Amino acid sequence: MVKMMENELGWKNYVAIREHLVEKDLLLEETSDYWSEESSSIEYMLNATPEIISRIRDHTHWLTGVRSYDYKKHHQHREELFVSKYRRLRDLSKDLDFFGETGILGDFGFEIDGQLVNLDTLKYFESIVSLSLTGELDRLINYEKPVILEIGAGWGGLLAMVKNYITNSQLVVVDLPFSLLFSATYLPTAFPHASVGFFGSSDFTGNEDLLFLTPTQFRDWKPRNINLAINTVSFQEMTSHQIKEYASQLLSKSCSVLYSHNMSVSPNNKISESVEECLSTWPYQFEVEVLPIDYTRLKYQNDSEFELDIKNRNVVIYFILKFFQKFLNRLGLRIQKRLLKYFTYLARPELCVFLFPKISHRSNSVHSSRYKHIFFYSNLEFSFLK
Amino acid sequence: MKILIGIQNVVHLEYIKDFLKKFLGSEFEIFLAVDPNFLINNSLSETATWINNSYRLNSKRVFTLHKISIFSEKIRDSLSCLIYLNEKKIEWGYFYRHMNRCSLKLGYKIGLILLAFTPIPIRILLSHRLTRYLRNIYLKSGIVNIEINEIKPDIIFIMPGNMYNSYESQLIADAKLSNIPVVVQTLSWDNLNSKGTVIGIPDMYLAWNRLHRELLIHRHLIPDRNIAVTGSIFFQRYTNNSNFYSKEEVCQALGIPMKLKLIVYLGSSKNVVKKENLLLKNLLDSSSLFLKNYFLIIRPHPANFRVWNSWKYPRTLIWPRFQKLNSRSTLETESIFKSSIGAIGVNTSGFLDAIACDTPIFLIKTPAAEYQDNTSHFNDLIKVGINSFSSIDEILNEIDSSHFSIKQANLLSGYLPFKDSASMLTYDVIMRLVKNGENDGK
Repeated sequence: MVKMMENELGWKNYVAIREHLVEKDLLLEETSDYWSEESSSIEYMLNATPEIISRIRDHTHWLTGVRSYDYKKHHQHREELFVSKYRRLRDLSKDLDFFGETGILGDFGFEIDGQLVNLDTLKYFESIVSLSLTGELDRLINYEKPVILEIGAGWGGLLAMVKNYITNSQLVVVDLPFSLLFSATYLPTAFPHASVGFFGSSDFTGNEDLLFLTPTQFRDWKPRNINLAINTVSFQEMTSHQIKEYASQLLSKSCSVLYSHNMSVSPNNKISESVEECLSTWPYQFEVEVLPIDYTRLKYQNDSEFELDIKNRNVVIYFILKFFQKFLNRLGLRIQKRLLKYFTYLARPELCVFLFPKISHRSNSVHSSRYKHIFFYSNLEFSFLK
Repeated sequence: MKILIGIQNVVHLEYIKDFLKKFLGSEFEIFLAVDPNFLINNSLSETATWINNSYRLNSKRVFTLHKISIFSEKIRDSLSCLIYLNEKKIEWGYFYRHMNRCSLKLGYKIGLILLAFTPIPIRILLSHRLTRYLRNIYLKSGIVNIEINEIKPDIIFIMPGNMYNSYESQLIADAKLSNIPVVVQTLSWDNLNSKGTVIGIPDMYLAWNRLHRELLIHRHLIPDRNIAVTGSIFFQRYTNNSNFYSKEEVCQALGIPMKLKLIVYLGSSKNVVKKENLLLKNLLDSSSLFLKNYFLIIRPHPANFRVWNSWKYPRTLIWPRFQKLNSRSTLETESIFKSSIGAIGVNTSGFLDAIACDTPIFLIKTPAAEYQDNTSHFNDLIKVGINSFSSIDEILNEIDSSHFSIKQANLLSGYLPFKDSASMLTYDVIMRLVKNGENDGK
């Protein structure tokens, strides 16, 4: 019964956003080459049926690459990897609760500690951990109604998770029209009591709990201020011009903090400047290290686990590596550092730590994943009072 | 009329920008001489553009100061270390730090240390004589910055002129040799007890307060007649904002629950406390009162803000996350101070910001601090009756008891005298010197 009501609500929300996009002629907005191709794959969602919407999460792999198929019972053997990464993340911020998938519209994942967990969930939780480690989560909780904006929210999973921590927040999604079909269906269904506003519609006030805007509309939106802007894994797919435009738009809208979880330069998107360079108009930035591996990877072992693992797999390889390790450690520190630099490009971080035990713990390169959690600060908290 | 301003770091102009614009800008053509080591992107033209854009200063010319000879450098560095021995009590921490920064040769260092350990009257007698002797021979070095012969300024204004590698201090000698009046402005609260000294005696040394005046007389051996206590031009900025934000607005902007009492934690530099975040965490952990009714706004030191990057503690907030001297908002800082019931910290110039905003200050005494009760500027605060505390609870009890109010009232007049008129007084001193110079010329 509950499921049926959820599905009905999901369908109602889907119809609302679809009508809005069609009515306002928003489906033809310009995007980067990468996203035009991606968008073309999800155009079919414009003609979705109630059945498709009731399992909309089966279709979100077009946005994040995470497929529900990989979490079916016959893949249960992979659960162990998820548990290991889940535990590592929880250890980083022990006092932080974990909120898995909401369990609506076909949410999927392995059940860990009574929560549905998948790669998306772990990625979002990694972002939550970085927000917690920098004190941002505590800062936002103190506001009466903090404005949290996500550029490129995908299906809305991260914001749904954020809302569980900052329940009084106003969530703003800025995304391509076809992606809004997902987030504007999912989020209002996950939070049925939240009021919803589509920028440009006649009844839009700007005070709704959930706001949805396209990138073109974002320029015209005039909020009082933005307490936190988030971008995960989508600046890296934009053109330099688009990133710079967002950077300056956010500053002009009195955004205090911008959190980016992106690669500096994505191999899928050849841009001349890195994401950080494009965002350099923000006066201060720093990087937070959460896990030494990319969010896309699940396996990371500590030194002793790794050593034991190799030994169990192949003793010969273990002894060859051990010999190689001894040889490398006899070299001067400067040479070791130089070699380590090359190794970090070629080998898993665990292998680098194993081969260069003396210096790898001091080296950032071994422990830095390609995706960086970077916080940008503007000190513009007071500007809305002016 | 022409004024030549000699500065070390162009960012220091922030301290005097209002004074330059409102007072000097209308009377004088402004020429700027800057240290070549502090140019923006190592470019003089970029620096000149930056100065004119950032401070809207219509400077006539910006040029770089010249490097002094190795002999002069040696004298300047020896002199700067020697002044630490001019007083009865030696500030050992700063004395050693200054010797190391100056990279004095081992022989000089040993000589100075031996002198430091001689009986006090002999040490003072010798160091006074040596200070005067070195200043005299320095003046014989000749004019280095020949630009002053082309510009022919009516007065030279130098700030700070006493850093260990100051190029601008040479302008004192140049001015003396060219018969141009010269004024030196004290840069900061601890500038006269933690840095070096000037290579010659300027026509007027502008001090902020009584502490500075005493240091100038006894440590730097500047005659009283060459010292003018004019207050701090920099802190005058806090008197200009009558419509600062209310506590409600501050809480709204920073996301602080309105019912909580605000306290500002003033961050210190890395020299003072190495791991300031750990120190504060321990202090807060051991407090039983803090989480009941208070909220702490942590204001990082501009040169030590990275230590707070991963700070996380309930009912605390880092604000601002970063601080550049020229991007500080006086209005916002003043609003935060005015909304707070007190400011706490280890040893920082931020105390003076709080004093200027009439916010009571409370000192945290900790063995983790390297420069605290062994420094004269900190001890001076204790001398005027400001208590130091070893725990947050002691401070909170003191705040609630309101016993501190009388002592705090003395602070403003003692530390930041002439708060509303510092610029006017400084301007008067400059104009008087210019007129005297003109009369002498006639």
